[in-house]
Amino acid sequence: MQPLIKNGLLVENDPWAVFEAGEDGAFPEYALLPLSFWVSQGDEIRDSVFKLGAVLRAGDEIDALIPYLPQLKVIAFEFEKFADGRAFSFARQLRSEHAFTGEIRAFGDILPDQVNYLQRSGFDAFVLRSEQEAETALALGNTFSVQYQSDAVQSQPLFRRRVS
Amino acid sequence: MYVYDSYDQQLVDQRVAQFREQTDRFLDGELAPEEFLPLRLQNGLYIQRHAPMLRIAVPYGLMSSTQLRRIASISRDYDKGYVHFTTRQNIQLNWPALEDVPDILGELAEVQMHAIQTSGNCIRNTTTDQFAGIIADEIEDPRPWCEIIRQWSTLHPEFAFLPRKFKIAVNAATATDRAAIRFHDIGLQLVKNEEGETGFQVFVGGGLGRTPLPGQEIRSFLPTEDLLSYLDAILRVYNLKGRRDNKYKARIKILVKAMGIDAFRELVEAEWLKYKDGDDKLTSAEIDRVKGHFSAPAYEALNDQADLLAQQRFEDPQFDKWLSRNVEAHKQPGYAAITVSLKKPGYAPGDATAEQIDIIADLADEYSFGELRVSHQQNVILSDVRQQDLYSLYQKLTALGLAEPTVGTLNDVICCPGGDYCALANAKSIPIAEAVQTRFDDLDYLYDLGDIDLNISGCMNACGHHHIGNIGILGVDKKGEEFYQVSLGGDSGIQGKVGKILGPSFKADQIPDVIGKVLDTYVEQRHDDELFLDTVHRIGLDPFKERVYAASH
Ligand code: HEM
Ligand code: SF4
Repeated sequence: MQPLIKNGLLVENDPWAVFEAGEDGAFPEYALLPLSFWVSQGDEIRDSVFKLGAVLRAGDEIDALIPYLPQLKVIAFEFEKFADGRAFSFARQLRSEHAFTGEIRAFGDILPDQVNYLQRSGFDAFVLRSEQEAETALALGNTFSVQYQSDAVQSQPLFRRRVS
Repeated sequence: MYVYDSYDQQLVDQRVAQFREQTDRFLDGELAPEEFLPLRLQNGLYIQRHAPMLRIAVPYGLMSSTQLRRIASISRDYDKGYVHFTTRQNIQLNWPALEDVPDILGELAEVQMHAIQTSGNCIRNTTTDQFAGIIADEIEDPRPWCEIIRQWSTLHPEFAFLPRKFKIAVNAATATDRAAIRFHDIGLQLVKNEEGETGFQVFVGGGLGRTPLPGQEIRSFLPTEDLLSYLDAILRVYNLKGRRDNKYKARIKILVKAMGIDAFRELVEAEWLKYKDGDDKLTSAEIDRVKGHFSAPAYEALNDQADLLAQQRFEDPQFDKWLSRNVEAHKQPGYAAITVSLKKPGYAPGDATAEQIDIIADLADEYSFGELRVSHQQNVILSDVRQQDLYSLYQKLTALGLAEPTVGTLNDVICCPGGDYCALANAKSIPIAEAVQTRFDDLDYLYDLGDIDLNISGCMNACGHHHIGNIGILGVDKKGEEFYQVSLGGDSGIQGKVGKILGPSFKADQIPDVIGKVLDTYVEQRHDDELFLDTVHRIGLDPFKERVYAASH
């Protein structure tokens, strides 16, 4: 299993599993459902007793998910290529504009070196590609103690906090 | 100029430590080359034809003599003792070793410099007029705004993996645009509205490369305190909607063109309204803090020295030439700004040796309050020289080969490194610049021709801005042979025009003749004091075509 980091710690036994739209059988108890699922059946499953999340893939947009945010425990963005930076902006919108407080997870092709920016954009969970990369990601946690801009975590840009 | 406080310093120091660790991991094989790529690019490091190339940021072209001396020593210690000044007010080292780059960045950080985001698909160095703050024709000094943008864009977490690179330029002059803002992803023009308040006219979607397009107005007036939230909104829309399937269609210009400016504006304004009155609204305390760093140097109360200069010009005709071409009027009485020309025929345009750089730094200390600017025409500016000192400064520059009195003329060529250095080139560009400079070395002829921008790029990436040269030359490859396409009528200024292609391309050795015929046509057809550019636009390309192609067949 690929290592999951959440809030700066390695998490054992992550219960969440992706449930593909075409799959047979019952939902897993903690189901990450693709966007198409939410678009077609969102109104029916929104009151389900299961713990539900969403998976967004390259090309998906968040708009259709917005009505279901209160039901969503996790929104997971799958990175097909690490250089595709769209999810950074989606995460920022989810946190700052839509006040989403559930987990925002990154998985797929992400680099340990991206974790800091992802975190600042609103992600709080990261599935790294290997144990070694997870360790690197944890070790890189304190690289920067200064930031100029506001972000999803720190709403005040440096110019409002600067003491000179 | 802006001086780092402990926050700014800490950030660049930590950035160096971060890159050192990343380089170690790459050298240990833990980071694959394609994974190291965006990390090194965002620290200015390309891998080039002969060696890596390191692009060092000179924020909005301004630097101190201390910083320039450090560049000289770095080029000596880690490179071959010369550097290249680029068309985006940056400095490039052409031969550093990869393993040395963390140390080089460490040395830069010691003098408040860095290479952050000088390449890669992120927000690049913000550029402006090289005469910012010293010319009379200016709404206000644009440099504090550039610094505010620098801080906002530096390590912006959301915009480090954009579809493509992103460049912002600011202009504050009303009658000129030396920053070519219409050819940037975002161009900001400082303006005053009817109430007399200062704001920005915002252009978006300009760029060169394969698809040259002037930016379009997205907002006629943006209050200055809303600058950062508005930039965030444009970048967010671009980050989400820009194409990622084809890198040649990934710049914001393609998105704006495809959507149309009105639809694009609607998205941006909708996004902006959500954040506009939040914490990113600039405070007057912050604006004043940054402006405080750009206060005027300790000018002496002097008068303009018209008589003295007239006398010196009369006695030394060479000085007269230099004064007319390389000296710019200053708003402070008794002062002038001078351009140190890096365009000596026989030397690559924009190149300077470590020795020259050290001496330029000394001259800046002696004559210009220890500050210098880098221009996008690839020259260096001493911006605050006493008029009474011009003659002695001129003599020193002459001795160094840095007083070529050709600023703004045909011989002040803008030229990319081309096939001699660049892996992407279709053709060499530096030898073309030299051939033209050698052919047209008669100063009286050059002066008679007046202002002409000649821009040369070695391929359609357009690093030499050939599209917006009054005369543009582009290297093209035809079945493995180097050819050159010539265009006329480009304009980097307020009008912002892309040049039109004259016709079939030429071989390298034909270029001086072709340029000669273009110039002859101009001289014959021009009205009195008409500039080359204006003649081209008045008479169109046909007379030039007839002349150039008639004789060559
Ligand atoms: C030698 C290494 C270099 C490489 C590999 C390189 C590569 C490129 C590429 C690929 C582009 C096009 C980007 C796009 O598609 O938008 C570009 C654009 C540009 N380059 Fe370079 N370049 C190099 C050196 C330089 C130098 C030395 C200068 C300055 C003299 C320069 C100035 C520019 C500028 C101003 C643009 C922007 C054109 C635009 O707005 O589209 N480059 N470069
Ligand atoms: S224009 Fe082409 S040849 Fe010239 S530096 Fe840019 S990429 Fe290289």
